[in-house]
Amino acid sequence: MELKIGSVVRSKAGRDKGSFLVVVSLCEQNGYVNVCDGKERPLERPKRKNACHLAVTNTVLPPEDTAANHRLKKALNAFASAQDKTQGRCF
Amino acid sequence: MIVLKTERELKLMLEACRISAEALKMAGEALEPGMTTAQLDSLIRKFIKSKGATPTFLNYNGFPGSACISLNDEVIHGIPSHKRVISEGDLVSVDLGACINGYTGDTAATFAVGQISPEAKRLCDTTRESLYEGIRCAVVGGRLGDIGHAIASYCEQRGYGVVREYTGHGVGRTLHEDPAVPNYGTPGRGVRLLPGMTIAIEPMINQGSAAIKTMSDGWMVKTTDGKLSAHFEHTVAITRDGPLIMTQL
Repeated sequence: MELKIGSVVRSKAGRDKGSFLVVVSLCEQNGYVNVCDGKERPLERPKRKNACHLAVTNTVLPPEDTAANHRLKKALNAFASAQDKTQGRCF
Repeated sequence: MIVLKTERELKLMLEACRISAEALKMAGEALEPGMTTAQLDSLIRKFIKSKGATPTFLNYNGFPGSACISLNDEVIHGIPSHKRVISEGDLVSVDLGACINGYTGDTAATFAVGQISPEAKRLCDTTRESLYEGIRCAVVGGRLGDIGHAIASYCEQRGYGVVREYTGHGVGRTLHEDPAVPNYGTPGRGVRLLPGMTIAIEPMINQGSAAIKTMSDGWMVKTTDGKLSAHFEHTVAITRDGPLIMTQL
């Protein structure tokens, strides 16, 4: 699945491994994107990550959810808790 | 929250379940020694898309494949890979789902590639039969504990381990709905079964102990003792006329 602005991703490598992040911009440099979580990585200080270190999910947040840190944090928490509910359930 | 489906919703869901079942049948027929799990995944993806549906598992919580393909001692959630080659005598568990009309179907089966040992065949047969034992208990007025107890007692009497860390689930508009459907339980306990409930019953049975470990990719689950594991699954609707196996062709 193609990464686009607003895509929720799970980090596969680095100190943020396992956490959910949102793509806020695509870098000009091929294969890199900027991601934020609204807390450790606020919108003012996004993290540049190699796309191959991210697992993309089907969820894309609407622009209003990525407009402010508190909105972004809330949306990601909601996504993570929904994901928690499916823990332990087999595909 | 458990969502009860209307007759109309069940009809829409049947279409998704039929495509899932056809894709699983196709995968079973396409299996041959020498192919990689990524090739099989690609065939499944193309088949589901050719029917106008979308593979439910693809990118679900970041899962990179259209199907979970697990070999031998891998219990569930095997990520399709170009490096995993299927060989003669392997047990291949294929778990897949298709989404169409806003509803999803979910089904799985373990296939034998070529000749397998009598022990492996017995494991597969027992797991399949335990699934039908569970389905037989999915009747209006019954309880979830009845289903779990039927599966666990059938398999444990035959010396197999029943995986307890992972469960079946409700299925419908999304892949994972309430309730969780464990493969163990106490008869007469648990959620009461009502008409319109749609659940995925999926026993995961190990040849040895029930202990499992999750691998470093965060998805694949293997048996700790390295013994074989089998997995069968059907999406079942609970109706007044008895259980309706929606993913049965």
